[in-house]
Amino acid sequence: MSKKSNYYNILVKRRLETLKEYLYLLKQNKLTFAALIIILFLIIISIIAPIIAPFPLHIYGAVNPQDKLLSPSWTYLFGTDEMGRDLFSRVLYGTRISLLGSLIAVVMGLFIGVPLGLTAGFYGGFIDELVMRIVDMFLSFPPLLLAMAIAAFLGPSLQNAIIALIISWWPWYTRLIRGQVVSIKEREFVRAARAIGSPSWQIMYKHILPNCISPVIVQASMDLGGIILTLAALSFLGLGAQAPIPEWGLIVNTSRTYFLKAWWYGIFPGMAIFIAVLCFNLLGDGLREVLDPKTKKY
Amino acid sequence: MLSFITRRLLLGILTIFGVILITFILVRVIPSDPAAQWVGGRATPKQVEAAREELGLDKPVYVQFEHYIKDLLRGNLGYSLMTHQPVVEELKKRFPATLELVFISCIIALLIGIPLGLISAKDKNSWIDHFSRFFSIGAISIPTFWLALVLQLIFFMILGLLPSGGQLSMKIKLFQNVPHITGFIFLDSIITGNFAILKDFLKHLILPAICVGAYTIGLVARMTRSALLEILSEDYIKAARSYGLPERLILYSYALKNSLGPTITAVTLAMGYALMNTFLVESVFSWPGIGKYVADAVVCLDYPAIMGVTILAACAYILLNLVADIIISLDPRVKL
Amino acid sequence: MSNYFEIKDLKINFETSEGIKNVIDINELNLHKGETFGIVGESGSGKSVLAMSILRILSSPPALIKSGKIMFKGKNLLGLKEKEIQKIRGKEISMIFQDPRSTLNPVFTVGQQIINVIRHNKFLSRKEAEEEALRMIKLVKLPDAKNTLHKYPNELSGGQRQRIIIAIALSCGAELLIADEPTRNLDVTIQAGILKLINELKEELKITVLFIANNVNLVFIVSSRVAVLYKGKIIEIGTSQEIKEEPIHPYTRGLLGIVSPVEREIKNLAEATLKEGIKAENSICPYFYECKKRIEICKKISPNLTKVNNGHWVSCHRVIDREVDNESTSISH
Repeated sequence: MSKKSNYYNILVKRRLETLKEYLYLLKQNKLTFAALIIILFLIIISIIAPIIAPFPLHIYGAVNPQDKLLSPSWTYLFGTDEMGRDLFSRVLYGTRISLLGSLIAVVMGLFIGVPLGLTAGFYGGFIDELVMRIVDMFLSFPPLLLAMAIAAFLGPSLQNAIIALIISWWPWYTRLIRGQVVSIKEREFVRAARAIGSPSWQIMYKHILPNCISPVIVQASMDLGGIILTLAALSFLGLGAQAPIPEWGLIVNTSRTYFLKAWWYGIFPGMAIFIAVLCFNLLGDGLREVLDPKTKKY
Repeated sequence: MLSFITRRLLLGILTIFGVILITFILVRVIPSDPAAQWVGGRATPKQVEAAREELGLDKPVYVQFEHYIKDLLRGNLGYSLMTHQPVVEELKKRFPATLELVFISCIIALLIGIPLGLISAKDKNSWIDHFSRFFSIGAISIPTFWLALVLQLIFFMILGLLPSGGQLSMKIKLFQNVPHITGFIFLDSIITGNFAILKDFLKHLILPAICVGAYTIGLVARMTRSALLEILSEDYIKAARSYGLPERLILYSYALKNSLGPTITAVTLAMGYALMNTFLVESVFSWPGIGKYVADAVVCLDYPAIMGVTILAACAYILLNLVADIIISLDPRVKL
Repeated sequence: MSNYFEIKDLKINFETSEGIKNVIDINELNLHKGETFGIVGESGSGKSVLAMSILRILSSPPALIKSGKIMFKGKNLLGLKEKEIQKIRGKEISMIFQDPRSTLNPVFTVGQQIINVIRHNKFLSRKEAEEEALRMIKLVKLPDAKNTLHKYPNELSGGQRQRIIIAIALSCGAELLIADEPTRNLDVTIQAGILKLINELKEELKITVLFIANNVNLVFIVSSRVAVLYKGKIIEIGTSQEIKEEPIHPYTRGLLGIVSPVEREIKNLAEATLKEGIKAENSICPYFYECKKRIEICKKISPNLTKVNNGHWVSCHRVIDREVDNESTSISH
């Protein structure tokens, strides 16, 4: 076995061990563990939604006017909407949209924010000042406000809502990682790398990044809950997914028109949002408890 | 100290300028034509052209920006495409209602959230701690607009206890002279001693206030708890105990004073989020504030209105942060 | 031996991620009134836990006092109710800690902190408390007392802060002072000043001092009697002079930097211990794994503290012949 593959084997083993340790610690907090299970459950649903939905054709179209606005029954578990579509199937499919959309938003936010923060922290000086001023400007808005304004001006659609979210969230990661970089930059191993003439990008990505990526990952996973909520809120306002996409927030919005006739309409999709966001927040909270530097003070 | 304030103020103004710049850039990105929006769907091309000239959209970009800044400084935010009234007037009309809602919600949220966080930290890992932590996370996870619908469902449709919307019921509006001293119904009714109006107002306020305040309660409780826990594990608390100081003093005087900094930060953050929540809640409860205004504006793509609200909200948020920074700087540990 | 202060059969456990660890296991420890008693131990030996357990300010998870008694003037401190132990804290027994930076509350002036303690313990009026505070600050030899009252902790140096802490601790007439590594975070030059202050205050106020440190030389300077703490157990105890001149336990000898080339087994104390019917509770000597002089018996029975000569006790199965270099007669029991 070559030296390199040996090295990677050891790395992988060590990563797995830390993972096992985290899982063990997580298991101790029953609430967090339950949240994790539900999230896995939701992920599975989002993948197999079109298969398990009782009325897959109802997800997008297939108007069924004779069955409109029926209350929940054994055929239509969550009832039907004004076009006769099965709400249960639509809500199931909505899982996919919410989870995937939020994931894309977070990942893209990281893709933009992390390199920017790395560069700003590493080079310092003018670049740092410039980037951080821009970041501060973005961070002076509460996220929903910024996302709302951007989505409004880009034109209401699911894609634009996700873009708006990306634009609203990347500055948080830039600031977080820049702070980490600034403190790591002065450490011995970085100086050593510089001394032997490693190119800057190598120092940044091979040496500095691995050491400061974990708080960012933790923050990103904690953000997922908030992003799902904001995406739903945007759709609720009419700025996100448009009909006939079965996005949860949009369904809740549509249900308002029929509030008096079909009160059950908006309850279930809203409940779905609540459960998803709650579980992600519980998980993030549990993660944070586990990863906090355990200064055992007595 | 004064230099600190002026420095932060200047920074704030710079940030607001950045906000204006961003919003201006956003307008340039609109795919739809504001001139066409202005004249409506059935206008002739000539009318659209005329509108374009009138709105100044035919001039080069930097000229437009110059006009924009000049207008802003004069307090002119353009005309709301929905109502054809000046945006500033619309905002002036509606802002007090939102301000009142946010303010009262936040006060209630603080009155509930801080004690909750305190008890949680004091009796860590007791059943009340677990309950309040779950409750807090639930509060920040619940979709505000859904909570609004659920509450409306329960209290209006099913129980018939509370009204479905508005600030005051029709009866009061028609038969009573609603006083208009401060512009805030809560204060005005107390000042004039008109408790019928106050009661009616509170009945209308309670559901929107719960929705707007839910996230705030959760946030404040969590931050208070974590701040206090960290403080209670500090050495000076142990030392204070070793000198024989009573636990009550240690908690309410020593620990609490140390937690003021993070708590203030939490409160201002929470007020910012509460303001955002009004966007989602006001239209459900027909609360006549800027939240409903912007929700309607979004539907009709009334860009001047959206921009106006964005700038207003951003300014409010920046102001809140400035206040928080000033209060934190009063901490003797902070070296100015 | 007086019964002024006595620790008996104290066992303290700790909940850790690897299970429950025993942190303190002390059979007997006595303090005479008016002496300065030193405890030496390395990091992790349990010194701070011991110190904090006396005033019962340990956090109860993760620490757990399993059994034992701490007798002070006839009362068992561990058996007292919270209100009763509060009466003892600050007024009869007081404590100073290791890090002067973190022991003072940063958002109150030092004056406020002393006055708070005085007012709550002695029920004086504000003015009287202020006068008392000034008196204490002068007592700890801080110049410009009046202005110091209005300073915040971050405006004072480490040495000054530690003096304030000593002032607070002694402000209410405590007669037993527990000093938990009071000079650890200070510069060497400042250390000397603080030690001198503690000695002077001891004479002036006629207090008993329990001095805890990890530097054995420091302990010798201040204390008349010394106990060596290793992994929560007392392995040697005696007068400073005895231990300095004739350390017996291998660990103590290691602390003092003594390395003996040849050892001789002198007497198997374990058998004698068993004969006298004294229980050896644990099954292995705590120092076993690091001890270079261990023998079979060390693996089976944990040695008890046994008297070597007047005032000098050791817990070791092998008594090291200190004069082995001179090939003289053994120290026997």
